[in-house]
Amino acid sequence: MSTRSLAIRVPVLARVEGEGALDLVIEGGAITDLKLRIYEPPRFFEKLLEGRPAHELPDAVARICGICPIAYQMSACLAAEQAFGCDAGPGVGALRRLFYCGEWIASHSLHLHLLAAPDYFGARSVVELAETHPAEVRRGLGLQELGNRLMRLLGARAVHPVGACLGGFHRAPGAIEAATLREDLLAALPDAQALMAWVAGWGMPQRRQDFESVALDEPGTYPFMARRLVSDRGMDIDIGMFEQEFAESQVPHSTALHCLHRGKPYLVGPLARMNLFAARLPEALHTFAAARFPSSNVFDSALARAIEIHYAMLEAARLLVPENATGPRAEVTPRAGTGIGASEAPRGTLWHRYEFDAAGLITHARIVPPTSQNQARIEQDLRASLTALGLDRPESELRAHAEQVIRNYDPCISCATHFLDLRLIRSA
Amino acid sequence: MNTTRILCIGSPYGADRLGWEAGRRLGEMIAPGSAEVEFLDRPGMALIARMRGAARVILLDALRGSQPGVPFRLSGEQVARALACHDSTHGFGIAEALALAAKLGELSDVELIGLCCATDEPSVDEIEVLCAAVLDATFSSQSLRTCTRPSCEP
Repeated sequence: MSTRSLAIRVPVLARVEGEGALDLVIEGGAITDLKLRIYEPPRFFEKLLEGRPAHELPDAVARICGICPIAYQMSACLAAEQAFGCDAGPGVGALRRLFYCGEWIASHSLHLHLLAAPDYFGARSVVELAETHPAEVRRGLGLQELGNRLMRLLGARAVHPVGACLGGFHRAPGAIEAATLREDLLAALPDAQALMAWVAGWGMPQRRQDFESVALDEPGTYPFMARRLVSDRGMDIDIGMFEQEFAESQVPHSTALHCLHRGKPYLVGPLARMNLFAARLPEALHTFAAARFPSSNVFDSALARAIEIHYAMLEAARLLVPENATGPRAEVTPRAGTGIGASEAPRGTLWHRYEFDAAGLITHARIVPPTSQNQARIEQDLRASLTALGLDRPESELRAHAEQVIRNYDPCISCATHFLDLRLIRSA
Repeated sequence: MNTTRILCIGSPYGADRLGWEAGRRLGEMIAPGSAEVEFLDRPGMALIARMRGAARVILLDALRGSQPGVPFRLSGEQVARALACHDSTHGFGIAEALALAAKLGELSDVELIGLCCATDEPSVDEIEVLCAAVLDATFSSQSLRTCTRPSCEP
């Protein structure tokens, strides 16, 4: 075994919503220090919400993330509606699911093609990848645009959409626009099928690891929004019990909190969902998924994303029917209370809790995003994956693999790792 | 495929609204059917889809680093070079979208009109002056016909 000492510092993972860096120290052939540093200044979003009226929530929290604003809007609306004793009803529920399908399709397509795929084909970016795989890149952009169109249908725009409100939506989708989009989704299903086959053929690193998969359990269907949170280790709780099961803590090297389940790292996101609920996919997709899932190889997250794109397109086509274009909004009357909401962002479970006073003003807010929940798991994965790769490998290879591991979890962090500025200190 | 499409990039806020403001005025001035005007908010790679099918694309965008009040115009590879150093969310900005469009053979005849003002919160007068200059710059070089309605005279 190599006994070399190596310190790899990745000081800037820049231009992202979750800015971060990676510090890695190898001494005597073993990793002695590994820190995924999220150093972006805290934005104090929860504090900014205090004193604001409840009806501002959907537009305010959409600003937290440019990639998954709908997840923030849905979790917030569900929490506020619980506090105010409002049941938005099945019609709004269907529209919300439709809205969410758009975000999954767009976010997953972006991640797979623009972020992840270059790793598997020796390209530094999607622009380079387009030289060798133009058809696949073009197909990916087309799928992403379908997702964007779904978001615009209900949200008026794809980035930070403004169509959602407490109780539902400001307006129902237009019938002609909805019918056109439905036809386009169905026509693009062969593209989604081809994407699954393409991703299944990527040379995924084989990194079997031991981790707990956690996701919401929406009765009888693949989950978007639900009140129960389950895991493949037997956890089954109401989301109101989240704070009793999960604990966030500050670590010195990150401004993002680490969230642990009973003291241990765990996984949220597409792989966790697929590990738990592949059997709830439509038969053809389930048959395809059953060959790989459940999986203990975190790199199978990419295939899970591809399958979820296909599923979200089928689901959106199912929901884009005239009967879902009526009654887009339930009445909401603010009152004092506490509400908790959760939904499955593309990157994983997103949990919100709000307290309101009698005037409906927010007095306390708490948001636990998937990035926080996956952070400890990413560090655990990095240790295992780099060790499995071989710590005596060239530093460039170690760095590239570390980037690939990080990128596999989270589009925001993944973006950052495309801009690594490596500083290496080598000692005898 | 003979379409000229004017893509206005920005938001309703601060200096970032220059592209939209100029586009709105331009939309009122041009003759119906001579060009399409669209307003985009951080389009990212979706810019490629927005350009698709147009023979000529004019991008209107607020940019830093040039003389305030004087729009500058770039075309061809100048556009990508000028934008290459600009930061963008997640690294998927206009420059990257144009580079990818070029690689995929989907790059139209693109022209960029950059708008720069002195402050991050330009006054209405400052915006008016800049937009008027954009109209001059656009009409002087393009085959866009001005609307013949008296109320639309530049």
